[in-house]
Amino acid sequence: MDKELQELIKKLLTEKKAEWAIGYEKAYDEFSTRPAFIIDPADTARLIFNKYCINNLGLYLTKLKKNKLAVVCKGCDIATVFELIREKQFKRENVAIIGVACEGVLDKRTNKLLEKCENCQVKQPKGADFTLGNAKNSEKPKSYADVVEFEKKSSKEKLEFWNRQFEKCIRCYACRNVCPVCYCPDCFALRSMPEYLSKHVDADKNKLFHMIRMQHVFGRCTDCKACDTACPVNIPLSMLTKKLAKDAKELFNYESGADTDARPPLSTYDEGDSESDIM
Amino acid sequence: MAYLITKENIKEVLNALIAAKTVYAPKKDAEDTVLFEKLVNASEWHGDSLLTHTTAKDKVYLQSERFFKIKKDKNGVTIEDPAEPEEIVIFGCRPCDARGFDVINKLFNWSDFVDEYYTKRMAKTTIITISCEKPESTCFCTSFAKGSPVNETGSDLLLTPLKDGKYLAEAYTEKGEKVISDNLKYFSEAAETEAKEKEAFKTASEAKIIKKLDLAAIKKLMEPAFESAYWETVHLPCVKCGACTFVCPTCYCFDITEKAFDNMNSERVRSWDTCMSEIFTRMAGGVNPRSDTKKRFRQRFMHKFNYHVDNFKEELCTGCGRCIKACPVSIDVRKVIEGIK
Repeated sequence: MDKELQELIKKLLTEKKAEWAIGYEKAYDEFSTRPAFIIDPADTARLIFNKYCINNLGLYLTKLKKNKLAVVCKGCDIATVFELIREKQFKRENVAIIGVACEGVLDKRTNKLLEKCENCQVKQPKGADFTLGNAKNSEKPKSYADVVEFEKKSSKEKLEFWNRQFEKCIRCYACRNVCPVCYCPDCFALRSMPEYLSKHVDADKNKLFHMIRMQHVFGRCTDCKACDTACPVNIPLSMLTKKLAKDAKELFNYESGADTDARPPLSTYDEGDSESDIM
Repeated sequence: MAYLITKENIKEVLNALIAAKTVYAPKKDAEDTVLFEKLVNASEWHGDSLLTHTTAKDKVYLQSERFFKIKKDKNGVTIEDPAEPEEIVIFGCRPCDARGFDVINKLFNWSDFVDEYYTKRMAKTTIITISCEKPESTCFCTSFAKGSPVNETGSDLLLTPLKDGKYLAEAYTEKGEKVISDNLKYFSEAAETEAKEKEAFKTASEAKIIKKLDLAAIKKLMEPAFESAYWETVHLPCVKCGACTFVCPTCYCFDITEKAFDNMNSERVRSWDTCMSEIFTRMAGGVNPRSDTKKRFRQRFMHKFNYHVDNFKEELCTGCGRCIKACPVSIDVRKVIEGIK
């Protein structure tokens, strides 16, 4: 697929259909890849796609101030691009989505298949402008069994679990900075006047940060697991994002990134809305 | 004088240390995160991983350190100083981690200023290091003048694994000698042959480190490359989180904040900060000399391999490679500085 991908991007850049292209290249060993930014059509030879292409490149769409971009997307990453279009961060016609068929990606830290890749409905990408490769989507729906299992725990057990996790947190903000929908230019966590969140790092304040971030991305998070895989101390943030996805689905019958014209649950009101709290 | 000790006896020594002091050693949790944590028993020590996910830096240079508390009442204002630091042992770090302490010791005792919060705690810290048998693809300690999988810089006691499950124990400071003399029954004297065995270990281990950088040549390129177009594109993948700086054994930048809880109580706290953060250099009024991401990205490498070398004659890096592993987008410090043009 690499050759096809390189040729396609070369063509898009040569024909000026895109100013820049964002894809993947090999990083420091055979288990790691990193985002590659291509401007020169002659420079496409370094582009690859393999099972270690874990990053969600939709992240860069709000960061690069360019008019026309081409971006390599796994099926799941397309949801992010659609969500950002829905949030009017850029126009659909300004981004060329190159969908790549994907059999699942592996975490470079553990060499294990990501949990989101089991029962994946978009191994074969949907909604892309160009699609490369073939993959068979899972017949089983996305499973929330692990969240349901965790919900059964007592409040005390849940608190103990998360206290331990947030004790580990070093507040490096990798989770926030890799999050495609965390694009606020001035994050609440960095405000000093007034100060919403103290710089003092301890489990309580770390927990506050994560809880606020999760509330901010409710109905926008596409459960892409970027925050989870970015965490340098392996905090299972995907349990929280998956819970968000589950609540959005169950309480509001809403799925982020599915529809570029939808109104997310927290910005609309309907008399029939669920009275339950999220999270 | 060098000694020998078996792995079983290392655990005995560890238990003896735990009984007397607070001991931090690599411990693995349910999420497979290996961190320096307080041990209650030597059996919790996880010695199989090469590197912990974060360094032991935060045991001496706390991520958040309260300088004092201020309390006002009818008797006036009282300032409450922090408690005196306790004796701690950092057990099972690697030579690159231990050397990290040596690098920041100089910083916190620079010129005529001594940072007493750090220095007092360091004086009460004993560092026991284990030489690296299996360096990983991210390791590059041998690029540095003092760097090696068996280097003793910054360590009080260095343990080097030899054949037959034995370790060569070498004390380099009084604190290290005390660990041996207090637990002498677990150690036996080493012979000449074992010192030779350590040399062989060093050669074999160093051979596994695939990358060796010419840092002197890179240093020469850095100053002229300050305005280079190279930085315009190389920073692009970087998401500007602080993971690289917070897992680094030598990054030391901080911010001091004051907080009033109410009219009567306040505190002053020093917290780690990162040059990757937009607000790190933002000044009152909103001016920011490192406003864009390129400048912040460049600063990290300039500081580590150029400015710090000018001031301290050594790099602000020990080659542990944690920043490469922790980076969400796998940016490789070696590749970034090697590519400077």
